[in-house]
Amino acid sequence: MSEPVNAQGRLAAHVESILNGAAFRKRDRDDLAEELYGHLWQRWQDALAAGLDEDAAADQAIRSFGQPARLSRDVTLAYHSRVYASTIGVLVPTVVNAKAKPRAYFVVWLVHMAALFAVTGLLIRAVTEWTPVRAGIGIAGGLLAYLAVIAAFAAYGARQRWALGFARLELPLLFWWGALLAWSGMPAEQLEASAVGIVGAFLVMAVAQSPLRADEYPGRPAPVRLALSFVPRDWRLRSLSAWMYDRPIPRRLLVGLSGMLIVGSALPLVALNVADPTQIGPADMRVQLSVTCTQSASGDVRTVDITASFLFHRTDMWPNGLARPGGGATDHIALAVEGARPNGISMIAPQLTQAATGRDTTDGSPLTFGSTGQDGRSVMALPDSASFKAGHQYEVVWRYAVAPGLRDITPITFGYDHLERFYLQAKASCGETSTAQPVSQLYVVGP
Amino acid sequence: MSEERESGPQLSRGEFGLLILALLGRREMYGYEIVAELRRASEGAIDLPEGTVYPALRRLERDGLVGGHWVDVGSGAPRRRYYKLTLDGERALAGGRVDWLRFKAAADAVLGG
Repeated sequence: MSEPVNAQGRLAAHVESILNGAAFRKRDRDDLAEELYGHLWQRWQDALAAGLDEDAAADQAIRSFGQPARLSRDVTLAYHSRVYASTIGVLVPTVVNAKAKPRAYFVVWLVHMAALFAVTGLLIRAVTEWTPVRAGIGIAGGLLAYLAVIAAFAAYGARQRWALGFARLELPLLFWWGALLAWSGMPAEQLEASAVGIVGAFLVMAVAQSPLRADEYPGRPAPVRLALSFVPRDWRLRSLSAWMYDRPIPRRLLVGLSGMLIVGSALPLVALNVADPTQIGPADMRVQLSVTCTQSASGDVRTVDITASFLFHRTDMWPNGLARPGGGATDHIALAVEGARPNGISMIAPQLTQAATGRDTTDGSPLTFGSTGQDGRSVMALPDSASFKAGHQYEVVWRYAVAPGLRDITPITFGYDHLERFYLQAKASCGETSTAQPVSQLYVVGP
Repeated sequence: MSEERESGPQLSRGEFGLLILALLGRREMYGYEIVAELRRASEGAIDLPEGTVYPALRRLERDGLVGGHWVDVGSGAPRRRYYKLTLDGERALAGGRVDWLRFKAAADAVLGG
């Protein structure tokens, strides 16, 4: 800000410094400014009449009026609650006088925009994809970070200089958010949803008379002002210079805001690594494999009947996220049936002779799943995991025929993959029944 | 920045508002006049930073207790915003007076006044 050139300029600057630090209705700004200036002016006139020179009279008027910080707070309190005045009212005072024509850095606008985009993406990802407890943690973190970014963005719109410094904190966190989003595999449609979310945030701020709309383009219809608020200021003013107000922010408030951003950014990582008690684990399932063989008179294995059964003691709560409680990823079963090499060279493999069938043995309803290969290893998708019921036992049966010459079969392996979260595997030979145990490797079946 | 000037009794926001209502109960006044009258009527005992009267006036106006209007005084001087009591303001002043007298009587009794 340039130095005032005369006593009256100093009076006006004093009024500006009070109003720049206060949060109040924008439409009251001109009235307040005129009223406060009028008081200082009359006090100045009285001091001049008492014989003081212009500067001394201005000093006296300013001194009598009170400290700007206290008066800013009093003005804010005249419009808002005490809690608001000590938090939001400090971070995002009412926009400065439009006549000052302040500008701000386009780069900072971009950083805030990107931060808003990233955190919106995280929120959408958590809501749509994550299981309840993880979503709760992720949403809590996302909201913390979201509020911090919104506050910084709004402060930027009000040309508060602290928003420039805050962008430096957002920048490294942007990389972190990007990595997190990539790691959690955000699909393209959610990127679009993020953009929609940001537009929504702007609309909310516009409805709330956000300082972002500032006093730009007074007299224009609200939709036009809203549309123009999306345009970075530098594009309109074609200037790269910055002119922002130094607004002292209490250290504790700034630390708190930074903490919201950092903790809020870390919580999604915590969410991804925390065990969600609403989701089942290996102990909540029982998977069994039974193998029955028939032999010819010569002792060769002729048929192999395989029965795999599984039962859920309990089921997941919204395994595919809050936004898709009924659909999404499916469980898979895997079967490996391999022959032996009796002569060490050729392999005699059992052949599937009857299409595999599945059913719910509790209520008799059929269980559909993907087709099984004729021999060897197969991985089959089961119906939507959300369709399984706790306490019901499901069964899948295969029948294989074996060419003459095979005296025995290698153990058959059956695996059950639950939403790629855990994998249970059982092995059994002719005449055996075994219970599946959890293994750490996914989709690795067979001997 | 100069040191803030504040002397005399510390007023709560409610008490300050009541004093302003009392002054406006006599006649319409503008901010500078209210400050001067407050100082004169209290014989200098109440001498707050002058700017504090404006947030108080805004609060009273927001609560519907006073109404403001601009008056052009000419001769190059800035306009003045005059305030007057509304009907609600008159009721609030009457109620505030009763409460204050009751409080004063109780305080006098305790302090032996």
